[in-house]
Amino acid sequence: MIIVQDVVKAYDEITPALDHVSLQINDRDFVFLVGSSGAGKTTLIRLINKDEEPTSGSIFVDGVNITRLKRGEVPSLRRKIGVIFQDFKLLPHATVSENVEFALRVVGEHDGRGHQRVEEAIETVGLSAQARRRPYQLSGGEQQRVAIARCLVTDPPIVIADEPTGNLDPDTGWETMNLLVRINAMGTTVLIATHNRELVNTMRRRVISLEDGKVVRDEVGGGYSG
Amino acid sequence: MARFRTIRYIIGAAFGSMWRNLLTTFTAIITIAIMLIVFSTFLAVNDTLDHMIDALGRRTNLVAYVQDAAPPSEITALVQSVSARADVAEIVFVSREQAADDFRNTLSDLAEILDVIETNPFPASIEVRMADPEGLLPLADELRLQPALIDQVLVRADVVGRLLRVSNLARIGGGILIISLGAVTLFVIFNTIRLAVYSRREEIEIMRLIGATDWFVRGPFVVEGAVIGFIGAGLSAIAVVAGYARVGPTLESLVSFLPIQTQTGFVTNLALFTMLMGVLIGSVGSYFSVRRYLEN
Repeated sequence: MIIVQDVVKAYDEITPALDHVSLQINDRDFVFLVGSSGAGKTTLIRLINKDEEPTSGSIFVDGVNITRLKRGEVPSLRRKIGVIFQDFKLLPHATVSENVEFALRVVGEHDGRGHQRVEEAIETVGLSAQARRRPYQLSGGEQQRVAIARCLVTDPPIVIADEPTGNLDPDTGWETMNLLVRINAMGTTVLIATHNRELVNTMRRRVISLEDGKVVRDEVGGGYSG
Repeated sequence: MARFRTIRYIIGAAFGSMWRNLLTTFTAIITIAIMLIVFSTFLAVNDTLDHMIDALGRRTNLVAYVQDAAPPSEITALVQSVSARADVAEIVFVSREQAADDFRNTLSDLAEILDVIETNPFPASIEVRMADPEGLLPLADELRLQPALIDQVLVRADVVGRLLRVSNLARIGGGILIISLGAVTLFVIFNTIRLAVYSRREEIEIMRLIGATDWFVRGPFVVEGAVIGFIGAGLSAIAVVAGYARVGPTLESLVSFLPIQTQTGFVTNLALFTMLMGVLIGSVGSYFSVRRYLEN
């Protein structure tokens, strides 16, 4: 469960990027975070992943107030949250399986079952045939799926995706979205920041809309613009 | 098992990074090797100077010739007071007869001269060996202040005094040199690792975003720094050992009267010490380099 309580994030003194934002995302929820560029979507995601600190307010992930976490405790938070980025953030010189394996190594879970877990994650995203390729040999959609497999392999309870379809054509965007739906069906909480109107309108899931750093709408089964 | 794999990953990543930044790695290794060669040379010179001072200190440093007319009781008192000094290691009173005997024994070819002269021309003397060569000149001055007892004082002060001055200068200069070299070496390692960090910044960002601990991120760089330090120090150790093997015997034969340090034990210790220094400077330098990057 993610609870955001009265969070303000100000980069300057003029307009805060997030202005007293409060919201709650329950376990197994599938939530779209929508809004135009600069509305505060990415800032909120970065705060939840403790990539940045809020100016004021509290954020709880699985009951832990992450704003009070010490530096050394941040890795344990990030192991609970799998993040998928718009620019994929893959290791350019590593193969698909090495990229996925890397996540297991980083969290220290590369044990005897490591290879099997990597293969399973790659199979889930349908890239078994491309396992030995490197990112530059893959299409944008395929790279995004590698990023999803990397996220899946450590089996985090929460997956956050920041504009996961932003760099993809509509068909590939749909494939990525279907994968995220399947991940959610397996019990993972999914939070997706997007401004892909068509996807949001078609899927009719819970939609939290941000405008100028404020939550202006939180609607279950909603569309992009309400 | 997972821990073993992590260690294997850290070592592999360290060597991978060194390979990717080969030129920087090579420059750092050579710089460290040169620094440590200078460092070892200084240590060797300093140690040799210490040995020389020690060895010269072990020889008789001062001979005071006793006035023929000096009353024996006063001479005995003088010998006792000198031997009580903390900086005096040994004092020997050589009587006139003993001096003549020594002359006969050591220069037997000339012994007949003494028979010709009939009287004993040798004065009695006090021979002093210092425990601390620094006290030599003050002691000589003190003895000279007693002309009724002491006729003449001969001091080996010229060599000892000079050596002491050189050794003190070498110590001060060496201290400054070691601190500067240490700082330069740390700086070289610090920047080499900073470049390595910079070239892997994307990987580091990904690692941190997916939950890597600071140690997991730092590990490869600390190992890389330690390996660079180790190789640099290894080269310096080889140069020092080879240099000693080549220069040592020549030096020994040139200045055979001086105790130049050429024992294998000393050279091995020196080589091991520089290796330790290399690894230490390498790992500490890189630790701080990555820490600074991660904290920013």
